[in-house]
Amino acid sequence: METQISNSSYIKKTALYDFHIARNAKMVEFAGWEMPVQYSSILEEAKHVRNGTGIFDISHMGEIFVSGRDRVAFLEYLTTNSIEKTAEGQMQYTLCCNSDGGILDDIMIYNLGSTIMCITNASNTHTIFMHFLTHSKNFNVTIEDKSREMSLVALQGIDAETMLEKIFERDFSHLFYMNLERFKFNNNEVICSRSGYTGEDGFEIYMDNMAARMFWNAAITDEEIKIVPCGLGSRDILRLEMGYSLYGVDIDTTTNPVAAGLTWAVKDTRKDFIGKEQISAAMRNGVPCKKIGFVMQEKSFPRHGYSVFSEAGKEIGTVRSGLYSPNLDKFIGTAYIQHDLAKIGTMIRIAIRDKKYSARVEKFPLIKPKVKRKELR
Amino acid sequence: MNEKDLKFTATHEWAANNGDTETIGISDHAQKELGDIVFIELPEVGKIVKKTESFGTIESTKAASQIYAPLSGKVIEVNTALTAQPELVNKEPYGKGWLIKIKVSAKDEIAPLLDFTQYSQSLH
Repeated sequence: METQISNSSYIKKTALYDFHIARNAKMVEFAGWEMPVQYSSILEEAKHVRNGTGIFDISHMGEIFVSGRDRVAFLEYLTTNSIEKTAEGQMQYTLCCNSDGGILDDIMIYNLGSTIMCITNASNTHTIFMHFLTHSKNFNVTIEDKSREMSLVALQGIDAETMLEKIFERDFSHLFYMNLERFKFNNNEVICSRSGYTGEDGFEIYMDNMAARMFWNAAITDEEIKIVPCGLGSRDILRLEMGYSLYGVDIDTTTNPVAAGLTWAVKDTRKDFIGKEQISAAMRNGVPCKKIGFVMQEKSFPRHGYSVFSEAGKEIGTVRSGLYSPNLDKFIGTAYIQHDLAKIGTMIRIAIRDKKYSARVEKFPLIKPKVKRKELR
Repeated sequence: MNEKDLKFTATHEWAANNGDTETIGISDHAQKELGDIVFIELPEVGKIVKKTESFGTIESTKAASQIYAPLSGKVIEVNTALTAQPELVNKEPYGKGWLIKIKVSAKDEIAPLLDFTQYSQSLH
């Protein structure tokens, strides 16, 4: 057997680090943070979130605040989606691109009224902060990175709402998907949204570090509702079952949003923004390679970087994400392949060591999302 | 099987002697390092394996790892239960999670293997 363990002495710890150590979590370095990848079993944790409720420490994610008179105009120019229709109390998924139309980060924007909170991937927080600063000169805005003073906890699963109401002693039944609320908890400011990266009903809760420790402890020690701490390993499975992109794996600075299937997060007719020219061109003319989701037809583990072939034996692309889904009992993945073979139902082959294994292009999500949406009237 | 009766390699495989045959698996330490095992690729019966050469692959949620033969010989049995239940290697690395049985071709290869105490010390 060969195993590799990486060590680094300059790793950041979240405010919940001691809880993870006390639970014997397996810790790994992720984007400069020491994070729990699993507590007991990645597969068991991924199954638990679909059948019960899990809690995730995702404090490594970045929180960048944009305030000032021009905050909306500024973000309209720096992101692809349009936030003009995202009212106070709502959130939105958007992309921050470079002038070539490549994705610098996929971010979640929270309209908090006088300020806008941008949630970045941990690996990109500094890049996005600098990118914002660089482009802020012609705008009346103030940019603040509050990532180190804030914790972020995700509560995901069937009992998430009940647990949240129990801890905060508030009613969350009218908080719908992609909406947020702000309130005080023991004099600490809390921002809570109905959202997540798993497809299950759930919440993402932003608190200061002290409040996060109280919240985490209350959730995992509750005697009536079983809340299981889950690591980043299960989070990766859950997000891939839903087809959500993972930055650095599915998308990066070389990815045009059109190729990634993220055109829905681009509003190019409404406004001007960085990267618009290249993205609009891709929307008009198409792209040579597209992101697809696939399901292996036989047992074999598709991993990042493996080559993808057509049935006819031609090399047509590369695997990006790949893993075993315990909820489907199948190996699933994403790849970028030649656009004309990217149709749902197309059979492809993945080269794994010295063999090629059959896979089928599938429509994601593979699991129906259970989020509580506001009913349209 | 009791781990104290087994022989180990520095690459975390074990071998258990029973006359001419040796049962081969991976250590408890190795399965813990790998995390959840989801797929195991093993050789077919009749295949010749050579000491220190790879005879299969273990796929876990974390990595694809080569398994190296602790001894040379011919594969006489493969643990087919692992096809449906690869997690047996996690649950019982020294029992139901064994990988293959081989007929040893060079018995002098056995003595240099590590005993449990030596192997345990090599982990520190």
